[in-house]
Amino acid sequence: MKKGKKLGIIGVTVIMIAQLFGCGKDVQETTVEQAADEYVYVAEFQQLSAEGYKTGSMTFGKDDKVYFTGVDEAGEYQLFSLKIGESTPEKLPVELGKNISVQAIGIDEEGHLILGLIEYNSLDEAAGNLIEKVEIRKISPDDGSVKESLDVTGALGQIQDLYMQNILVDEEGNYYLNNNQNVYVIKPTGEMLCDISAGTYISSIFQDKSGRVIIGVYENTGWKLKEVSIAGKEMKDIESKISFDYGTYQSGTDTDLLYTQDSILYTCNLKDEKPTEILNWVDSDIDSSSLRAFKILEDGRIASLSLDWNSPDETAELAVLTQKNRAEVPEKKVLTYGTLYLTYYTNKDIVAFNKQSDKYRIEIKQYGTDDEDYETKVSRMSADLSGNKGPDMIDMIYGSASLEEYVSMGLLEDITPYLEKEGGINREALLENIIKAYEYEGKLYSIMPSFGINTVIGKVSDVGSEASWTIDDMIKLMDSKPKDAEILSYSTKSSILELMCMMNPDEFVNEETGTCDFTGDSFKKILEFANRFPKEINENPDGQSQIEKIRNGQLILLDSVITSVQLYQMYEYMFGEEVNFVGYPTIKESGSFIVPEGTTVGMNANSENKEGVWEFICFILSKERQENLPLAGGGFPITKEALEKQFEKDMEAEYYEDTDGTQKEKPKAVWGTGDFDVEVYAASKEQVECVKKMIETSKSSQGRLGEKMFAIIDEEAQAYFEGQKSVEDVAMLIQNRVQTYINETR
Amino acid sequence: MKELRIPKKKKNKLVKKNEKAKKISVLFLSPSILGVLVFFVIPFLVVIYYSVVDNPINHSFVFFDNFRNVFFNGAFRQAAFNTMKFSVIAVPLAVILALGLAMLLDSKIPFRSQFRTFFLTPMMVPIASIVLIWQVLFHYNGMVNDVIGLFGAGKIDWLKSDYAQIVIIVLFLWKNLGYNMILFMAALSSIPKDILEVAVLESAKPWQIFLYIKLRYLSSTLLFVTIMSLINSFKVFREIYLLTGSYPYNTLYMMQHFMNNTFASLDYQKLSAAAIMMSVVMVILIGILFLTESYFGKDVEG
Repeated sequence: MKKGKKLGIIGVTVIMIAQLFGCGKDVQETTVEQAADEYVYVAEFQQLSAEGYKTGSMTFGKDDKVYFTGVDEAGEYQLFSLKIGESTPEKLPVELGKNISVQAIGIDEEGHLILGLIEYNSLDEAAGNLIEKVEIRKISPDDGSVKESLDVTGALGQIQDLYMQNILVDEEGNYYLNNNQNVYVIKPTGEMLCDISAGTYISSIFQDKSGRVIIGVYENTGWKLKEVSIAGKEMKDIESKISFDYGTYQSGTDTDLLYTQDSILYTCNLKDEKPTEILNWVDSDIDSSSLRAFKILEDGRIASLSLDWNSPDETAELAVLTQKNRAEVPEKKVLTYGTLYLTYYTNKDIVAFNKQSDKYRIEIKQYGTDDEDYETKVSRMSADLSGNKGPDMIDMIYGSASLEEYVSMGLLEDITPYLEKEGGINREALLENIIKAYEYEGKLYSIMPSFGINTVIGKVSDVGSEASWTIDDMIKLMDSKPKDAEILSYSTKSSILELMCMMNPDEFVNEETGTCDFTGDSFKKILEFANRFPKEINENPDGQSQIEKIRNGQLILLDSVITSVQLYQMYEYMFGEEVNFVGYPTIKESGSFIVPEGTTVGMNANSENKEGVWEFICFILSKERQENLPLAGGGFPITKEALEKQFEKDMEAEYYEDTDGTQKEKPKAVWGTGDFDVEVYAASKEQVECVKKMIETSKSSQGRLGEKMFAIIDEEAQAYFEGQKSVEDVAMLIQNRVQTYINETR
Repeated sequence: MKELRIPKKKKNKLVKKNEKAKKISVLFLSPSILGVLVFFVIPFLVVIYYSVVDNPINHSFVFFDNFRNVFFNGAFRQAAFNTMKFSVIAVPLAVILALGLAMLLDSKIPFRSQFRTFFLTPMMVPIASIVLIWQVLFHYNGMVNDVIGLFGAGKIDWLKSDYAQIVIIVLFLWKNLGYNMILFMAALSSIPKDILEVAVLESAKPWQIFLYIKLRYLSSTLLFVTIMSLINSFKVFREIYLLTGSYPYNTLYMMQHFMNNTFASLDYQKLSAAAIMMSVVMVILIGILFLTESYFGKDVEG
């Protein structure tokens, strides 16, 4: 009895201690994590292309084949099939005819291929192409024989810029085609049943288990799944307890849908409480942003089709993922990449690195969940970093703190010694003024692989041709224009104040002595200048487009981040005359500043895999990556050689042969803001020189007035903007509060 | 004196019993000891450790560099000065006014219970409402400025001017007087009536009764109220923060602003050094208060 009592007391004590530390919970979570970690999906890749053809649309068949289209150099289409597991695609014997474009491939319940075809007068876009016939053709996947052919020219032929993105067929034989914002429902007889607009771009279209056609769209309120209702000729909201977000959505195998969101493949029924996670594509070296289709095969393997429009050769790939025990997979050292937000480019870089490295694999550690606010995510990451549990690599753009804060914590490794090593990247190969963006107190903590330049653009006739201008110059320009003219697009009192403070930090804060002076005339001038701008952005009350306003003289300047020569050319077109990228006005000198783009990595000083981290940095700065930055949106490359090559490419004209056999220059790209489109041709030497000059004179935005300091300035400035306090009173208050902030940070 | 003799066998039994009782006590105390260790002692040791290393990543020992940096930091000095100034003014006021009110309500005045309720009301108001009330009153476009405007006076930015600390002292007193007053009333009622009556019969004057009898009997309550007010004066940061944010007008910048802001900017070594310096000052202050209390209150407490 006494022994029992003792045991009881000990038992109670143990339980109390266990509860104190929450042991029960930890054990459960660990078990689940271990179970999930035991297996891994290993991908086998296969090029999805036929020799001499560029791959276009693609789909999985009902059988174990993949069907895809190829376009040859003459622009003629061919259908191919590839059996999963085999390497050579087969031509499908389908008579397509000349000038026919296969735009969409679908599959019906019987496994027939449904083709959305458009016949043009010519397939050469540069020569212009007019629709002659629109056809929906059902064919046998075995021999290509035509099962049904519907001429839908009457229903769809008149639609401007028709492009069939997807094609589906329902139980009643109606065809669903989507084009940009619309879904067109075609009767089995070929007539239009209805044309329903989603009001926004349709990202996905699929059928659930019951055969309902569902679209995925991104609306103002967020991502939505909507049912295409023929009866009501409308898009009906679908109720679900699952919070869906932007991703790739398609029909499930045994469930309503199979979808990819934030690099994770899920399956679920719409009535489920939560989806089932299948895998993370990144773990299998697959870039989820390039996914076109995926399927769970009968044997449990998962197949995916990818097409990377941003790669230089527009690579199409079939991947077959097999679940394997982790022990069977060759072991690699794991590097962790910590970020609050995973960008498109970073995801691509990590997947590409993992795919080519035999020694390392990067795992992404994205802090916080979708439901959590920014502050919570930041505190999660900060807690990890300060507790020495931080990732090997820290995202310097989407991290939890500023460069100065990381450095004060001793968290970042100086990468200068790595740059000095022989055989690797050396500093001389990189643009010096861009590198300086991540320099702090003489040490280098990161290198951005690419960058943009934030600047102000104006006509030479307005801003002159000098590389810099002052606030006085800008005030003079404002005074010379009609009162209703907008000086800088989308600018408010606060945004101008922020820019002016950011561009003139040395005027107000002396970092060496730890003092500030906001009571001088310079700052008062900035306050008065900012006060000339509207309080809120006036959302285009007269309905004029930006380009119309510029051309009519109602909008004088634009500010933008220039990431390519082509963008420069677009702005030149918008202004309609010679432009100067003069930058933000400053008190002393010009202000165009560097904006980091791409995967900008900081090396954790505490990492046990510093060599691995450096290998990744070298990878993203490698010649191949630098010379093939995904499209122009990726920014200017940081290596001098790659930048020069990019400029050469920008100046190199491309030609096509006209119908009369003459060589004509082909546009390199089409740029626009929604209100207009402009074809961009080879850049002139002068244009490239202007861009070079802009890059050379740009400065880093690091080390300038911090967020907290500006928050104080903005808060106090509101009283002046509202007319409640004088500029002197506000300046005094800012001086008082900012000085406290500066004292604290020393 | 004859020594009490306990038989050896009985003595052994008593010793064993005592040991057993001790073991059981330790067993029952262990969760609490563990809790104190985990939540107070170990974190404090970690804070001491952080205060002598360069940062939480490198862990290089830097002796007293962090203390020196903090001591010469302008913001820390400003915060220490403001906190001290606030405590020096607000704590005596909170004690003296509360004692005065308690004495007043202890005498036979009309509406005693209504007054008592009136002074206790601020304790029941949630902090968010208190801040809201103070904002409505002392905002640049608030009621107080409207009222003084009626007399032709210009607007005053109460919370962003040299008046700011006065506003906060008023808020502090408004919030704490009631609680202190109740403690004093309870202490006053426990003073032995016979001593007071004897004093009156001996023709003692009211101030003599107060100084030589009541104050002596109130000494332990005085100490408690002073310590509580001192602690509350440090906690006034909460109201200031909600009224004016992380970086207020310099006279409102308190020690906890410094602590909170350095924590938010992940500067743990600076935070730890400041926390240790502050705790040393607190220990000294409270030690002085205990010594004072034991000096004045020794004859009534024995």
